[in-house]
Amino acid sequence: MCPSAGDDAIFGDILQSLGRDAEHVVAVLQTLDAMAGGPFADLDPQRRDAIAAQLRETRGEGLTSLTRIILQCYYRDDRVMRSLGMEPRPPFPKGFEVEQGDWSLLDPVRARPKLYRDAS
Amino acid sequence: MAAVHGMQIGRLPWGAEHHRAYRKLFCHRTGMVAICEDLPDEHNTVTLDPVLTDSNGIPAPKITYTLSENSRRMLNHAVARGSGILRAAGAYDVWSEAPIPEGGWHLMGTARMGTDPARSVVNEWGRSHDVKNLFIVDGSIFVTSAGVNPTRTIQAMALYVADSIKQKLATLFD
Repeated sequence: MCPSAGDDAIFGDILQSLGRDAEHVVAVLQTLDAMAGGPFADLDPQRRDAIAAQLRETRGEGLTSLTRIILQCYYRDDRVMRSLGMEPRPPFPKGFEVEQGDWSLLDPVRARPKLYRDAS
Repeated sequence: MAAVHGMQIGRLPWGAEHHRAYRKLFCHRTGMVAICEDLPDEHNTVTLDPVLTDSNGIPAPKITYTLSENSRRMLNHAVARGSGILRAAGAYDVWSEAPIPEGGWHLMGTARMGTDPARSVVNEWGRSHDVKNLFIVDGSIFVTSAGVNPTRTIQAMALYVADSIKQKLATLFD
């Protein structure tokens, strides 16, 4: 089961990762409440989606920070990585095996006369 | 980064559908970038801002830039060719943006090289026409944008200008 970004562990990671963006993020959340005419979290799901879509149209620095932090924390969660078929580990030092394609597709390119000048 | 960019450009939804949309694209997407030679235009300038200053009262740079019709046409051509290549390779959902709103724009020119002081800022080896002991060694002495990432060319220009200074040492400020 893949968690949502509202999962306790992921949400905790988000809070811990705000750092210097905290001020901007708080301002965006206040904007969200203002657009909702009250606490955004109290709205029904449909209304929340509508308000969020409106907020998305505003763009702005705070919104970019909020989106980046949520995604960063969400996609580094082990459960989310596994749901994407990824091993929850960094690429270094073990690396990943890249499936080999059909290299003969390049044969016509290799057989082509060169189309560049030699460096003098 | 793919998720962040996808969200910024509106390709990935917010909310409950986000993960499903991302998982569908994950490991099944690729990108292609085209870079064009943005030719110098008289109307593209860097001047002193008449109003905006820093905390010491020094005028801020005012950048005036318009993407030329020629550059737009080159970009459109590149996007069309790139899209064709991707489709030929089996892509079924091709998306493009040109010019990219967020990305590396290399600023070059504004103190360009030349032999004519009326049409250039530095001479052919980087010395200012007006101030004989001033050398400019960066991307601003380019006479055009070159069409590719400029760092290697800037490095080569730095070596060339340094070598020119060394060779002309006896008469450097004449």
